[in-house]
Amino acid sequence: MSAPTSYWGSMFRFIARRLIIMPFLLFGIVTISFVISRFIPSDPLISIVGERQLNNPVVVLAAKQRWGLDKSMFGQYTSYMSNLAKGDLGISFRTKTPVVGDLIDRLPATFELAFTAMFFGTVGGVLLGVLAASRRNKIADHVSRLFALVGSSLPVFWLGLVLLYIFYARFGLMPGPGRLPPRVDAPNDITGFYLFDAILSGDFGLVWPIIQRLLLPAFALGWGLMGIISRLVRSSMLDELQADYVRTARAKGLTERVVFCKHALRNALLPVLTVLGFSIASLLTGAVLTETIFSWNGVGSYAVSATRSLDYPAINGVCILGGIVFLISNLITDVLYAYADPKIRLA
Amino acid sequence: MNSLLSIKDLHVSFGLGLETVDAVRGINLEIARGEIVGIVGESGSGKSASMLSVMRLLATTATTRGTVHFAGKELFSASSKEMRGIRGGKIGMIFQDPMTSLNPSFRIGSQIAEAIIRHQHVSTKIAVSKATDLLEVVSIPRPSESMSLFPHEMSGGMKQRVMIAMAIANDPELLIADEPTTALDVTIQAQILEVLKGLRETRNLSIVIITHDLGVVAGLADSVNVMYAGEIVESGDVEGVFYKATHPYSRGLLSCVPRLDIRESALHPIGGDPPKLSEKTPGCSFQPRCKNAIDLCETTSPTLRSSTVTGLKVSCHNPMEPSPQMSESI
Repeated sequence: MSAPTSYWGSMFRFIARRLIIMPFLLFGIVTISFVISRFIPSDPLISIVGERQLNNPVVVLAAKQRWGLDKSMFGQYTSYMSNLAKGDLGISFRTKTPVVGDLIDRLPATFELAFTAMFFGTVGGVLLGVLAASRRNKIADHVSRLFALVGSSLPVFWLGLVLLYIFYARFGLMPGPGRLPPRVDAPNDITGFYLFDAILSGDFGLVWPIIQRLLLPAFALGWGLMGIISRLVRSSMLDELQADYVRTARAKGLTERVVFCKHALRNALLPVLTVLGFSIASLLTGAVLTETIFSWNGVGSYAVSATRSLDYPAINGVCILGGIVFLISNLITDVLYAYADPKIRLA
Repeated sequence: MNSLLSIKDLHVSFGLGLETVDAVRGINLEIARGEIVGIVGESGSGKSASMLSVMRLLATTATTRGTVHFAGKELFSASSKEMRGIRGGKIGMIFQDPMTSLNPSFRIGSQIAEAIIRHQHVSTKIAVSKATDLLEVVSIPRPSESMSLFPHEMSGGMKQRVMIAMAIANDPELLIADEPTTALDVTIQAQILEVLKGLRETRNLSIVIITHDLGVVAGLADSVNVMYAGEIVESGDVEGVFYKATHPYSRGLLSCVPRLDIRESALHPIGGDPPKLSEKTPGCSFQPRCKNAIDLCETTSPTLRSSTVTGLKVSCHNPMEPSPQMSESI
């Protein structure tokens, strides 16, 4: 029996320990991504000096010196690491601006997309799962199974393209790609999240267009997660409904709705938390493709351009960012899990 | 006698694929206010199924026939809304396994308070104070601190007390206890039985206790019904059944109880297995295992009749003699 007083103490120690390990994990991530990007058999010089200057030895030498590409790979690595320690991710070969600034500019767009996708995936997935469990082997169950199967088995870029084709190109029900309508200026940059910025700066006319443009990409990105979560919730709901405590709840005279949505669902949601933690990773990879298709000016499309031009600093910067997001989201998942499942005490 | 619960010709069957399993085959039962009735039998004899059907808590694959009157109200024809008012309100129920019968995700205090709020429509604050009082009633130490415990932080006996507290939270008239002590240690069993006994004294609660443990019934019940293969084969007051049972099955059960007072008394297990409940035989369902069986038993099913010798009701064509040895002990 653990006293409630030590609960927050152990929680704090757990979080602190995980935060201490984090730099070491990031060190590994940086090293691996650094090595892999350097081993790609291609030359980043093309994107730096342009194809025409590639035969001019003076320009090439100057560019190599400017960007530190004349040093040995180990030399490049040590100077990259020492800069990184100062919080400097270098300057992008392509945009010629600091990578940190590039990422900070683009992060809100990606978060906006990923969080909305996660919201669709979680809320939609739980609702569908509960519906399927309560109408087991009836038509609603079969429809939700099909829906889940489509979402989780088709690649996100294909879903994105088809959704765009159907809802935008074919029937014109939804606006086309992009975060904003054409020839419309972004709202004042306060948070970087267009939706919040529009509200904060009182630009309410922009709110609906922004939401509208978020729907398709977020749905394409969240559909897979929705599928996975709905199947998970269905099966764990069916398991929980067999449990003895459900019979106890009924014996108390509670309505089926309370038995379902309070007693069974509360326990059925625990596995969802785990999936959610890992889904961050798939949402980030999915965001790369979704952003490219929907001309979403976020980290994902930045990563694609960076890879195309072998923009070493940008590639490594995106990897570090992804690593941080993944580690933090797993930490949050563990903490939430401990909070939601009273049987788990973090040690 | 003014009976609180009156079960007439209750049948319960489960559809199991193509087979139908007749778990309960026409039982009659009367329970008076303040009475403790034991239902004894081995696993699968239909004891739990019959009581779950009273609460209408059986799986949806089950079908029931017959009538159940509770305080004058027929339950099988009641609406689901009326049933929800009765469940937990007028009839409380506790289950075999306290380890799994409480929701692992909620504090026990809130689980008890939930039952109170559901039926008494009081504020959370009042419900919590009532729940705390109930923990005191079932002798849980430090009631107010225990309110905030999660089920996994309590022992099995404590959890069963919580279950009892929850079942009696709305001052029901009837408590159905389905194998309440089976999952518990012997010492804890005795404590739980004391709690149940105390409730009858203080609240004039009627209790149906379902068990396969004759010791539990002996210490607690006023009357006993012995069930075999979905039927009541012998019933009567507790002393009668223990001392003067004449049905070969009841006698078999009694001689399965280990005894410390008689040296070298071997246990006498009842040979064979209970019948498959999906098969109907014309004769007595105990006949294949019965040492006392006569030809009639194979062809005609006996009915429950009062025996002039013992004063018990027995369903047997060829009952045994009341054993003088039996009456000396237990």
